Amino acid sequence: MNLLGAYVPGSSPLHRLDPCIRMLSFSIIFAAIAISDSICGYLLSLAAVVLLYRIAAVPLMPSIRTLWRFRAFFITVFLMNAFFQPSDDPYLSWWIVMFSSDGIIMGARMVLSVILLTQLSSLLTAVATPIAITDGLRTLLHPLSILRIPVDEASAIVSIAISFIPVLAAESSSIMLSAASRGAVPEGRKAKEKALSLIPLALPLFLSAFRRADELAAAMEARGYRGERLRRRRISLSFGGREAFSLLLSISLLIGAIALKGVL
Amino acid sequence: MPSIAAEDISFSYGGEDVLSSFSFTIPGPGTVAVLGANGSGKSTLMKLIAGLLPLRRGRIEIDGRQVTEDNAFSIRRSIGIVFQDPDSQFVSPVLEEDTAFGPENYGFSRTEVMSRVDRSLSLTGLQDRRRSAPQLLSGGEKERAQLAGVIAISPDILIFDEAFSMLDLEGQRSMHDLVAALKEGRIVVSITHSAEEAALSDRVILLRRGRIAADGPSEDVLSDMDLLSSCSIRPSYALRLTSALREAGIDARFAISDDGLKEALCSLL
Repeated sequence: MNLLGAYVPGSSPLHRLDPCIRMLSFSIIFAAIAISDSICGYLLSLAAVVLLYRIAAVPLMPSIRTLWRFRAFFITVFLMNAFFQPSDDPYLSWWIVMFSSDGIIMGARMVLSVILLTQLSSLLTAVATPIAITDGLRTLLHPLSILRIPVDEASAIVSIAISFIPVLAAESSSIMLSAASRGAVPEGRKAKEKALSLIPLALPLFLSAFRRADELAAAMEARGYRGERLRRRRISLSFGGREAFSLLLSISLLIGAIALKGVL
Repeated sequence: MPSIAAEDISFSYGGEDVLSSFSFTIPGPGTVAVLGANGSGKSTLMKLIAGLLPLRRGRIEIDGRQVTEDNAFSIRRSIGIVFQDPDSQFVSPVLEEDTAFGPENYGFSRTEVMSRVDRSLSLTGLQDRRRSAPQLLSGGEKERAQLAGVIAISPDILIFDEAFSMLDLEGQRSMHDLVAALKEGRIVVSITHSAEEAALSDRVILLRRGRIAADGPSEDVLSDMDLLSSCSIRPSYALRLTSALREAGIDARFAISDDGLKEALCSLL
């Protein structure tokens, strides 16, 4: 199962990219998606994301199926925008509710952006191990350490948080199964009741997350970890043809997204 | 030569004493079991030895150097700890990266890191799984993966914190064979609540509510049924069987391990 945040071992060009360049390229593509505001812009971003999944040889469908579980969230985001976006020419206006074509377009944009950004994030964690992401982030953010920003620690936090996503997803499934076996989450109830019955499951999940975090911290310290300061990179940073092509492609996409702003 | 010395150490969590006036010395290489029931302070003791918890009272010395907050990092270089739940310990979804974590933290060169990773994975029989996700290995393989990450830093002191309690019999045997291969020139400390596992060590330190109830050769400590019961430790099967035979009037020698039991039964024939 391809859970969001899970690393997918492979030897594709994306897997073999220099960690720093990969992080930089993905950041540029994130920016391109974030600034897209037209159908053409979104189509371009969508094509780029699908192409990257093909290059990485990471299956796209399991990731989309995972997103499908969050459909209620996406519908809520869309409806919030559709009904509460201020507009000069609403179809319907009552109290603070304003249903308009502007709201519908804004809602669709938000949902598309979130879906594309989530898919891209999922791809990043699929092609890079948390340690490689830390290496990339640390190198990219290094200039900020001059301003006494704890770059090493921040990178490590991001890395550990990413590596915990699949672990916590598996843990939550286990807790839900355990609760279901004791009748806590019966199948076929109404959505509201189902949502309320999930609240008690949050406590064991949080406790489990804290326990695991505590154990991981002790294990990391026991293996000589102390805030990345002394760590020596096992993978030397390099810049070759693959890295140059990656940067070129991502910058082209950003330029394309800027050029297509407001087109259609 | 590695050594551990604890002198009059005490530790409490939120006002509740976990360890009280605790002293012992492990002067050189050998196998030592720290045996105690749940809540007896075993894991706290291990964390204090490794400098993972700040010691507020008493003194701990590793290889003659006192453990302080300032030198805990350098002292930890000579201590490797294998924890109970491997799933919470992996830092990378790729085994070789996870194994490299310790040597990288201690600043070894890239060549040295790779050489240590190769050696550790080969020693633990995981060289074919180096690109695998450690989280997806079997229970026994996960323990070996964890051990690979620990021995990659070449520690003189190896501590196993209830590390084998979640393994099946085959997994435990495989790990014990591995530990036997690693103990040469090292101090191997097994923290456990199992008398069977403690019997594999030369010496046993038995804990009762944060105090040392007994400290001596494993044959002596683990053959005292009353002492073990007073510490909420179930005596080994070998001891229970030989005791039952003696109660039945059969003059069997006390045994604490499977091998000892075999000898005791053979001597009766």
